[in-house]
Amino acid sequence: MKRTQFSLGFIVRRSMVHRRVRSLAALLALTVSAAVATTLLTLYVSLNRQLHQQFRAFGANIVLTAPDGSTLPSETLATVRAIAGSESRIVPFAYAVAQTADGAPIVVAGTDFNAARAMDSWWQVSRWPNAAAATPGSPVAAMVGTRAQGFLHGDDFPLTYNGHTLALHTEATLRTGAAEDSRIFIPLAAFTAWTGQSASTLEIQAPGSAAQVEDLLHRLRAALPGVQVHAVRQLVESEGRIVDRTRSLMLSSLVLIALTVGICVLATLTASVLERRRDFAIMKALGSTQHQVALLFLLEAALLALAGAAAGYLLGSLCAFGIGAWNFHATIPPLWQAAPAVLLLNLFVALLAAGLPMRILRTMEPATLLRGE
Amino acid sequence: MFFRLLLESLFRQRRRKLLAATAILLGTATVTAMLAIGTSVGDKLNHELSSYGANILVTPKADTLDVVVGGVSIRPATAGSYLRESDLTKLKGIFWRNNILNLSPELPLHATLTQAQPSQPATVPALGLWFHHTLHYGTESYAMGAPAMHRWWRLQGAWPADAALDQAAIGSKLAAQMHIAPGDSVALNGEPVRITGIVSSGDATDRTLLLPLALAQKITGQPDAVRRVEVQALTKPEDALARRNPDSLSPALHDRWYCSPYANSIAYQIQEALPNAQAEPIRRITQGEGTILQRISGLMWLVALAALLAASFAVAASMTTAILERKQEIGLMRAMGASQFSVASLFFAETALLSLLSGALGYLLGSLLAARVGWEIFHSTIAFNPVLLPAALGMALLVSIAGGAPSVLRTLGMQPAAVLREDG
Amino acid sequence: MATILQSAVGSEALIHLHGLTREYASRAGAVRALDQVTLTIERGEWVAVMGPSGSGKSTLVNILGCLDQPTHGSVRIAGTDVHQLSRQELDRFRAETIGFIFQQFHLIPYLTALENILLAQYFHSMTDEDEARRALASVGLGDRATHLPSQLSGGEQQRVCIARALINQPPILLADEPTGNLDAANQEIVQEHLRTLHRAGHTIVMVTHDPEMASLADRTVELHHGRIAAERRADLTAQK
Repeated sequence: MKRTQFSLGFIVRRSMVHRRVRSLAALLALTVSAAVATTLLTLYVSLNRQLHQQFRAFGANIVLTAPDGSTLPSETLATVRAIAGSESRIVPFAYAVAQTADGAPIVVAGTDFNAARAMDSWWQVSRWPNAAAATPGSPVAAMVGTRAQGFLHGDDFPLTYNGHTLALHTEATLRTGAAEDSRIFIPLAAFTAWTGQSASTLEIQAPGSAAQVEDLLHRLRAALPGVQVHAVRQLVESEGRIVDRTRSLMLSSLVLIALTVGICVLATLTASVLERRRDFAIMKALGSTQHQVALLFLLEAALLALAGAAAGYLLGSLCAFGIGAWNFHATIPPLWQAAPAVLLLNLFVALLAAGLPMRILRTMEPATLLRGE
Repeated sequence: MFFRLLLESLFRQRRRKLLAATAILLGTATVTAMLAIGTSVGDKLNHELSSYGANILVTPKADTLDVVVGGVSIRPATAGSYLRESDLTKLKGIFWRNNILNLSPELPLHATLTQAQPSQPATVPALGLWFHHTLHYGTESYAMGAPAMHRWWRLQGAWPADAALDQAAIGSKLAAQMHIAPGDSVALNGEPVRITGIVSSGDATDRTLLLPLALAQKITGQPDAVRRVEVQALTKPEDALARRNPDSLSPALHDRWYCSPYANSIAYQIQEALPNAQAEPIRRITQGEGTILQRISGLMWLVALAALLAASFAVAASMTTAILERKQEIGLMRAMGASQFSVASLFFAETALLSLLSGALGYLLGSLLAARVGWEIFHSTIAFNPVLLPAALGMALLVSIAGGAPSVLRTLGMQPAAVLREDG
Repeated sequence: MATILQSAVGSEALIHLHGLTREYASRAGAVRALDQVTLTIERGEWVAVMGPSGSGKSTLVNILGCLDQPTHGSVRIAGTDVHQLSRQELDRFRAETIGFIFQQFHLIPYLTALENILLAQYFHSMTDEDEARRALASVGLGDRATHLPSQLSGGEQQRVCIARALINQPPILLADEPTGNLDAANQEIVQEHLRTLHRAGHTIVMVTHDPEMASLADRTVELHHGRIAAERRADLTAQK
């Protein structure tokens, strides 16, 4: 007696190949549903991080200042850096009021140009001075605010602080539309050498939610008693609200799209199964059990769901990556947790789509089906 | 006869049509909703971003240099020049007046504060402000002032009345330092003033006395004077054109620049309206807002695009299945002598009619959904966008015909007998 | 299966229908397709059921094939009261007892001729390809094993259907207009097959409206409006 590989799997394979247009339509639908779910899930999970990253454009959200008239202890910067972590940006500032040649008072600020450039992206600077290129003996390279420029005569000018006169050279001009426009910025080292004062303010740009910023604030206050630490409330509050609203918006979109695609897939698959009610009836007439036919349909649906989930996961991860690169200029890596979620979702939709018609078919007499329409 | 057939076909076999109709309806609804959200999210976000406060600062042109560190004026502002409070109405006359959401004039001064109980008088920084000022322009009036500009300010008590010359609010740190509570009476430069509220801001305002502008003008003896004006305007993110110097642009480009709500062009127009004023965009805010606006709108657009693609594929798949179900019908018509052309016309006309009907319903549903989402999230509804109707209908038509065409054409290409024999 | 058949062995008739009524709900009220039909069919008998369209012929066959349930009345097949069987037992019973031949052939379109026969074996017990090939050869389609139904003529499809109906050697063969869709030549072939089966001792219940087909049967039952209007033995013609 010769036995052949005749099994439910075999029947399913033959059925899928024979009805390839329908199978492809169903596979397409399931792939799209999985891809959409993967894209949106991946995006949604990394959205918080991506959005908070964007809010870095607003600059420092924590300001740390020494008590009036004093300067920060020299180890403060290192302490803050250790507490705030490598993700945070920190820019030191020192301020002094100096006199121009005319005797007019002007605010001079010492800072770390590289750090300021990284944090204060809105500073419109003609050409960032290179602090490292300074040669001893030559005038100090200064970045002059557009407003302050009107009170100086020429690009080379002296400033006097506490009887010490410093020769400066305008390397660049700065425009911010705010108080910086009335100031002159020089490298912090030159500032300290000239005035004998070190930094009095640290501006910190800490990424993360309002709660994370609040937490950092507490840790800084605990570590640095005697130093005033406060959040820039204007930024922190607005940021939280906008991030929340964007997340809600994304969530609504996610639900809406997933629902639509899910229902379309459900309808497509249901129709595809219902269409085969005659096959169902023939098999019943040939003596198959309810379970055997049900298994046949479910197996086919599950296979399609599996293939759709795999293809959709790849496609969706790619899509999320593309959106991240294009919109956020950031890498959004594939979210492996999305794979099982998407697979389960697809299986659920596909099995529901196969199961619903089974319920309808169960109540229909095979005879009615065989008599044809 | 064709139309009769078409109508007969459309309303018969409703279960089979239901799949296609549902798919198209949901697809267009999603696409409409996502596009409506995508197109309006910039606008909604722009209003959200107004919580960052002023994005343009107006100061007198000929001015002494500010000597301000940490928000505190190191040297008391001396003579210097002023803007005129009465000129501010003109700002509501500029081209982009509707984009100007709020104005907050400021007049800083130093005043001597004495508590009711005999104590040492102290010289404190003070700021004259509008609280709930009504600005009249023509027949319209606008409510403007500092509290709306600085939404992160927290008030305990009440704001002073703008016209009152005997009321003031006080910064929280200053209040704590001088043990002042809301309702207390103090003397300001010898005149009695009642403290109506305590303001906490998290910045230098915490150490400042906040006065109605009229009182500040009276104390300084400078009627109608303001030192600077904070302006909050809805702006368009900076692009290549916005960065150009307006004076170097060709007349046509200059008009385009002038008529775009860039922070720069609004500042430019403010400068035109106010004599001796210099208006500067506050770049920290405008640049930050621009980044956020672009990223989030971009995100929503991409998600809308994804929705469009996904819905298209889902609808196309449904249409393919729906048409395949009716293969027999096509075979039968062909067997009865209908030409390929007439069968195809009938099917496509039916598909078109179905997709237009479902698409229109989908547009309505999608618009309602978008309005609902807008209300839930931004507390302002997203208006029906008629431009989206042709887009939604076009998408429904295109996708359903594209989804159905392969099945119809393939079946038409087969011998009618083969179609009939394939049964199912 | 053996138990069911063995219990059937005895003096009782193979099929016994009593007071069979089948109503369908429709918009115009209940339609009575069968009305108090009582019929007994002996083992090895060939019965033709005739009558105009809508007389209830197909309903009768479907109830006999356990594809449909009567509204009232009892169906005893091979000593088993079909009504007593659970759904699962019914599936089993059908696989063991009944072979179907349909007017529209009803082959699974995506399975080849051979695989359609294997399918019936699969649902019954286990597949045996040699046996299935022999069955195909016995209906003269040995060279058509790998053809899909769409590649076969109507007559060939019907022969596959016959081979499929017989593969599990069911005691009862139900044929619903077996030659209704066939030309004269193919009808002749199918008739010959049925005759051979009858000679081999199969019980055949056949619905037809073709008097020539009916003349082959041992007995003809005529239905009108769901009732048995006439019943006659065709002993003389059957002798030939």
